Amino acid sequence: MASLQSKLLQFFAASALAVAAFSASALPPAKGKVVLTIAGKVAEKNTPDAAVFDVAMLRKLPQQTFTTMTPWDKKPIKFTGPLLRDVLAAAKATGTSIKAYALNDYQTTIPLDDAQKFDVIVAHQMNGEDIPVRTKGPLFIVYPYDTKEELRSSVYYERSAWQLKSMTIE
Amino acid sequence: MSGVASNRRSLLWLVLVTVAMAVAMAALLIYELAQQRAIELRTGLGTDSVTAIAYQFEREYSRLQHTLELQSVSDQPLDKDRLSLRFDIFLSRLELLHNSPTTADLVDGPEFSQTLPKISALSEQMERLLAAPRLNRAEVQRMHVLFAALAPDVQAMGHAADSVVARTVEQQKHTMRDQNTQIVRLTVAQLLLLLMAAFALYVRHQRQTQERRALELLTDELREARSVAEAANRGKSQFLTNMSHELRTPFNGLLGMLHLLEESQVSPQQIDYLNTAKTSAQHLLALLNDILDVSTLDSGHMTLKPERFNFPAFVREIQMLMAPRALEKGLSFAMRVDESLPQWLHADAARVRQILVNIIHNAIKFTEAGAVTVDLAVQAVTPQRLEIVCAVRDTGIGMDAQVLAHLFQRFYQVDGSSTRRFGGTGLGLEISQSLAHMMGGEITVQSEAGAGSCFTVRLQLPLATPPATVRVEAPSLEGKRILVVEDHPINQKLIATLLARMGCEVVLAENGQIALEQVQSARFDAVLMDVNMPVMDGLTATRRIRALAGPERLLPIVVVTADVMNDAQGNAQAAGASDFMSKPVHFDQLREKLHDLLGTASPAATL
Repeated sequence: MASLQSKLLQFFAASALAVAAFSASALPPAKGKVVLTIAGKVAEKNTPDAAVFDVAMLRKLPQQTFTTMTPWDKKPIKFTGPLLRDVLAAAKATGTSIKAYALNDYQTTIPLDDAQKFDVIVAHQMNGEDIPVRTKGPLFIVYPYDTKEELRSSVYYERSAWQLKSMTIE
Repeated sequence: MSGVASNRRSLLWLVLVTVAMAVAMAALLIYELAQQRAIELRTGLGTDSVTAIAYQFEREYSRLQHTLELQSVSDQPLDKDRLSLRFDIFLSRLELLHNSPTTADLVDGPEFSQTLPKISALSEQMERLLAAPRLNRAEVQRMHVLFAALAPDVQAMGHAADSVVARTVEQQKHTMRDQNTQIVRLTVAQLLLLLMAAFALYVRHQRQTQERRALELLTDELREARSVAEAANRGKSQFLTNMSHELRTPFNGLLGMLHLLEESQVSPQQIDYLNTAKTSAQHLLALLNDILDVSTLDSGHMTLKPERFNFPAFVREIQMLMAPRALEKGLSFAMRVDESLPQWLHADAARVRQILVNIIHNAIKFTEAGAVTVDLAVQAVTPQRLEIVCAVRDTGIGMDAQVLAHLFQRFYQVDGSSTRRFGGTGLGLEISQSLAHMMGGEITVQSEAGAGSCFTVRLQLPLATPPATVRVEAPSLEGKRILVVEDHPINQKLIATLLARMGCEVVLAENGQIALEQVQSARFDAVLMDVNMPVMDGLTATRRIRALAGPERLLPIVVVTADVMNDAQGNAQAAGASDFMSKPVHFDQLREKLHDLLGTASPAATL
């Protein structure tokens, strides 16, 4: 009894420390291929002028999964990825808006409030599989469209950048 | 009738129009909803219009081509990653083209269906190129050429996309225009229906106004007719009143004279003549009284004058009156009276007598042989009210059901010939029934043709307290000076004679003015004042006498008049009269009145 209790306590303590450690500690440098670059008003940089992430670093953050209909497909899609606000927090981003760039030079502006107001995620998996560049990969900013009617409008569809390359915080 | 029918028809029209309008609006609503849904479906959910997707595809194609061009130049380093990325992005645009719901129509078109397989083939070659561990410049050059060759076709795809979009927009415009036309048509139809409805309402309103006006006109006419009828009725009543007054005055004289003649010395034959004359006169007087009663009842002015009277004496009177008539015809007459008869009642004795005499008289009239019996019983309704039940049975001709049904109707008589046989005015029963109703009772009949009849009179009469004092011996009227104020010579003579018989001294005055002078110049014990006189009428004279200063103002004044309209007594009282008598004046009545007035020696006795 006592041992079980102490084991649980140890586990909780360890994970709490890990989360705290991760968020409190400096951003580690990216080991794998860089998929996301966050520049601009970021306090936590792991390169001279930006905070860069590889897929592994994004996977370390708490993951969200939801299924929603999108205007780009006839069937609903299951998306998995960390919350945008968690990603911004990891880079210690401050400011009011995000300028998001895609691989094909598509740009869109997202107000920083969106990350707080909605459960926007930076999805790296669609229907349980990594998103290839040939479709919408590697990263896709997805709003949970099915949860709120206001999200099902052109404003939010335009902010849903796929083939996300980088974000500049302003 | 036709007004109601046409009203209903116009109402029906109104309902139809309203229903039509409702249906039209419903149709419009459904149509608009359908159109809206169609548009929504067509435009789709997303912002990825056909144009955007086609443009993006074309652009990535040309960027890929550009990268291939750059990498095919010999002195540039080969960057596999970069080419791979460009190719991946291009493929993603191709995939969008294939899979977006909005480009479904586009992809079926000739430009796309011909070019896309070629692009697929090229893509496969690119894959093989990129699958190799290292890039081969010659291969890259070859790919570049191939891609450049296909560029115009890709451009054509772009144009096709544009034209598809243009056609779609045009189609939408047409749809919108059609829809608008439909809307306009329906709106116009609605407007027309509305106008029709408004017009129908207006027409209806006009008709209703007309009807109301006609109704108002009719009401006015009716009101007019009613006032005319009422005036005629009043005129008739007034006429009857006047006539009755006029008729009673000569009667007064006639009967009085006959009575006096009777008293004087006449031979037996003259007595016979006199009796005949008296009977005729009395009959005529009865008729007159009946007519007057009916007229008063009709106009609603009949009122009862209840007074205290001695009931047993009253009953004896009736018996003394009716028994001889029955015995004359050889009938036996019996009046059986309850032991518990009350002593004093408060009622209009004259009218009660009228009813009972009428019923008993009829019984005697319609019986040839046998008996007439009168049973008088009394029941207490409340401690103060009695119900007098008087049943008059006869063994006369009786009545069948038909006669019974019409018995109490005006002028109804058993048959026309019976007028000759039995006489009568046909008014008696109606009057009796009305009087009985006024006294809280009614008259009911049971009869069988040939077996006789039984008339039952029920009246509710209040008990009266017995008079406080018993009347003392009446003082003599000998030597009393009476002023008789009367303008009609016959009436003057009559009253004067009566008074002379009583031993009074009589002074005559022709009108109120002379009377006024007389009372001031001489001493009198009482005044008998007629009402209708020239120069000054009786009531004015009475008022003037009462207004005098001297002792003459306290003179006992008895107003005597043939006017029997019911305010007459009230008016006399209001003018200050001590008492009231109606003509024709009976000797006994006159004597009693004078005894009352002069015996107590208080002039202004209450009536």
